[in-house]
Formats: sequence, C-alpha cells, structure tokens
Amino acid sequence: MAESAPTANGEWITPDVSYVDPQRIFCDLCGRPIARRFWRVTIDGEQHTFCDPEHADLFRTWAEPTYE
Amino acid sequence: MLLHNDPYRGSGHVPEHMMLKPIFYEGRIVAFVANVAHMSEPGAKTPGGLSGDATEVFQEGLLLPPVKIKRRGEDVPDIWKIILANHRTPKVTYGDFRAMMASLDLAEARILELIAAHGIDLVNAATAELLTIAEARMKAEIAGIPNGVYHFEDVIEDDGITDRPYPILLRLEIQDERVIADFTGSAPQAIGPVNAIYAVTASAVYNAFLHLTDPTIPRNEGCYRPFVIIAPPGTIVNCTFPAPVAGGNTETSPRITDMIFGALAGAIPDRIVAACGGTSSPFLFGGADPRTGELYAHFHFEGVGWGGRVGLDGNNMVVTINGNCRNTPVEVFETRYPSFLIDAYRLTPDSGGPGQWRGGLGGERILTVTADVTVSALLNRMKADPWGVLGGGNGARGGIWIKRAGGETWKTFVEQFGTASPSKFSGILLHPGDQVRITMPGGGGYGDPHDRDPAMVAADIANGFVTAGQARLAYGYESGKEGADG
Repeated sequence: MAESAPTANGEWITPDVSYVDPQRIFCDLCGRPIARRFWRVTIDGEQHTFCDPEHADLFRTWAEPTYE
Repeated sequence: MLLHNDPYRGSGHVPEHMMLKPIFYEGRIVAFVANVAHMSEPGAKTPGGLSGDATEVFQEGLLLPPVKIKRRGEDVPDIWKIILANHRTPKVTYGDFRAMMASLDLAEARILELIAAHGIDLVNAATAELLTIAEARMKAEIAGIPNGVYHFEDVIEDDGITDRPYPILLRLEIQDERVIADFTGSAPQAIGPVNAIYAVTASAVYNAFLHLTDPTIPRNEGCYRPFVIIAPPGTIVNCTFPAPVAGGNTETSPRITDMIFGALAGAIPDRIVAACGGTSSPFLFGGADPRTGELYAHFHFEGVGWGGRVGLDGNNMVVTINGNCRNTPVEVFETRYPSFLIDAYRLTPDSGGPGQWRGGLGGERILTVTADVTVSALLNRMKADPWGVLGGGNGARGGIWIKRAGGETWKTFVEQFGTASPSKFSGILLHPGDQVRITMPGGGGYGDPHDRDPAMVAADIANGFVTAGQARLAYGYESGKEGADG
C-alpha cells in the first residue's frame, strides 16, 4: 500500500489493486466499497477506514452517539 | 474504449454493461463519456440471465473487469471473441455493443463541438458550476422536509433458495440540508439473487428523492452530495463478493425506493406515493428458434400498478419505479419469440389498493407454449402486499402458475416442479401445449377509501377497474347515490 504523509487527523492510503485477490475494503461509516484510496484514522486506539475525512467526522459525531 | 459489467467493480448487475470513452483535447484527457445497457443474454447459467436460484455471481453471466474493447480507435479482437463466445445470442450482443459505441462517439463529437465553440476553460468552469447548482438546489429541497428521524420496514419475501423473508430496515434522518439513509439492522445477504450492491441501494435512495423534489434539478453528482447512505457490508443492501445480485437491481431496488416514501408519509403526505407493485416481474426464456435453429433469449418485463398519491390514482401496469422499459406489444412478442402465443393480456379488476386515490391496477398474462422453451423467473410481491398509506388499502399480490398440456388445473411452480420459491427459479423446460399464467401486483391506495368521490367509484365500476362488490365493501359505495349508474 502507498501511504501519504500523515496529517494530524489521518492519512490517505492507496491500496494495491490485485485481480488475483478479490478482497474489498469498506468504509467504516457507510459501508461503501473503496475503489481507489481511503482515509485511515485511529480512533480510541483502533484503526478505521473511511471514504474521506467527512465520513470520519460523521463516524465520531453521528454514528457513535447514535449507536453507543 | 473500456467495457465492464462486474457488479463488484461498479456495475449494477451482470447483464448491465458499461462502456466508457475518454475524450482527448490537445493531447490530454478532458472528459469521459459513458453509457450502460442491459444485454438480453449475458452468458448466465440459464437463457437471459437473472437466474432466480443462482447462488453465486459467477452463475449470472460472464464477468468482465474493466477491459479495453477498443484501443486507439481499433477493436481489440480477443476481447470480442471471449465475450461473443460466451453469450447465447452473439449477434444481438454485437449489435448492442456497436450501438453503445456509436452513442459514445456522438457524445464525444458534441463535447468537442462545445469546446471548439466556447473553449476548454469555460466548459470546465460551467461543468463545475452545474454540479454546484444541482447541489444547492437539492439542499434547498431537502430543507423543505421537516427535520426528524423516520423509520420504515419492508421485506424481500424469499430468495429462490430459502423460503424465508429478508427484512430491510430504514432509519431516515433529515438534518436541515442533509439526508442520512441508514439501513443498519437489515437482513444478512441472501443465498439467492436478491442482494443489492451498495451502488444499487444508493441509487434507489436517490431515485426516491428525485421523485420527491423538483424535476428540473440537473441530474449530476452535485445533486447526490447531500446524501449519506449507510449500508453495512454483508447485508441484503450491500452484499459482498461473490453473492448473486441479479434481483438486487430489479426487486430490492424498488423496495428501497418505496420505503423512503413510506418513511416520509407523515412528514410530507402531499408529496409521497403508496407502494407500487414493486417487482420488475422478470420472466426470462430462451431456446432454439424452430424456424431457423438459431438460439434466442428474452428478458420479459411486466408492468405493475403504481401507488396512489394526492390528486391522482396510480398508473396501471407500468414497469416498476426503478425501471425504464416499455410494454412489449403482443404482436412483436409473438413474432420475435416463437415459443409462445399470448392468450390473454388484461388488467385485473380490484387489484389496485382501495383509497381516496386508488392504487393502479396490476394485470394478467396467459401464454401458451408452442415450441420447447427454457424459462426462469425472479418475481416478488407474491407473498407480501404492496402497502397503502394514510388509510389506503393494500394492492393485490401477483403470482405465476403453470398448467401442463392437457391438464385441468393451474399449479404453482413449487407444486409442479418442486422449486424452493413460487416465483424465483431457473432453467425449467416447458413443452408445446403447456401454459404459463402471470399476474402482476397492483399499487397501494392513498387515503381513506370512504373519502373517494363516489363519481370516481362509479367510473371505476364502469371501466371495469373495480367490481361492484369491492365498491360496496371497500368504498362503502351505493349505486345511484352520486347520480351515476354503477
């Protein structure tokens, strides 16, 4: 995987694409399959993958309070 | 020019083939044009695809990851050979692909004309502005819906493999200018082909809101930006590889669209609509043409009743709410597909859900087999009613039956062939003299049927849409009270 320089909130990750390995990566907020790159964030010591920083924010501000 | 149809890489389901063409201007790519077309024969385990008892996507047709079908304007022969060797009707596929290519060539020419007339900078700026305008207009429409959390639940009644329902749960949150459509809690993905991929679920939500909002909003990426759609992986609304997906597009999609309307019935009662018949009624068949020996295949749609809405009854027998297909004329059907004669094709009285605004009528088709033919089906709303709203009654369910040559009684496919589902099966061989009867569901009614104008009930009776018995029972109608002779 290619990794960009991390920011204070997270980092963009570009996974290797392989036609041999059909494994998919999904956004931890919306469930969407990640096509090209994902936003990786550590929350409470656990790594999460998101479509983009906006979904990472929604995970913290909407999903966690809604389903806690 | 690229071609692909893999649902796990962006297609809706296997028969849907997408072509993309890059547009070059002064040596660099400035745009892509694309189109999608459903191939009537994708090389699945049974003719026409949509095999109602498939258990893996591999059984639903030849899977193509994005491949170049043309390179630098020239055909890539090996790609063509692989595809055409795997489709039962290669001439049809060849013609459809050529038509798709021609449309992309035309789109390319028009975009280049636009650039020539206005310059690339202005075209790019206008494109971005169109997205911004669409986003702003959609946000303004959403802001007109009362903030709140709305819930709805519906069901896919079985999956062709197991005789059990698959619930779909919706928690719809309107937050000022944003919509969060959350399907958390929906059933795990099915074994059979009723699963929706994420893009299909998202598309079904957009479809509902495009019905509820200003139809002049440009349909582009911008108008979808205000939506967050949450569909947990591994569920019927976001299945994972290699689950079969054929019916996600045709069956689960309209269910989700209707669920948005149902959730918002109390919030915007003047804009929503009751449930439609909710099935594309896929009935697929194929075989060898006895006149020529050539293989043929057909994906036959049936229309359904649409739901009632404020001020209007539902449409009668129109392809379901996510569809874009027309009704095949009987004469065309019988000419092109020599395995059937159509004995009956008609609306079904009382199939529209009673309401102040009545649900549209479903219908009935009876076909007689005239040459050996292999049939498959992937229908819904055979066990679960199309629901009415705000006091309206449910529409009638549909069904499919078989009567063998010389037989006296109609039987379900479960009774005759031992299929797991009465409406989802594949690869059943029928012979001359056999008959198939398909009934299509009606739409749900809107509002209390007793509030329906008696003159409209009288007109329904006169038109044969409602029987005198249902008029009395469901509408409390008494002939002559409104001055019309029922």
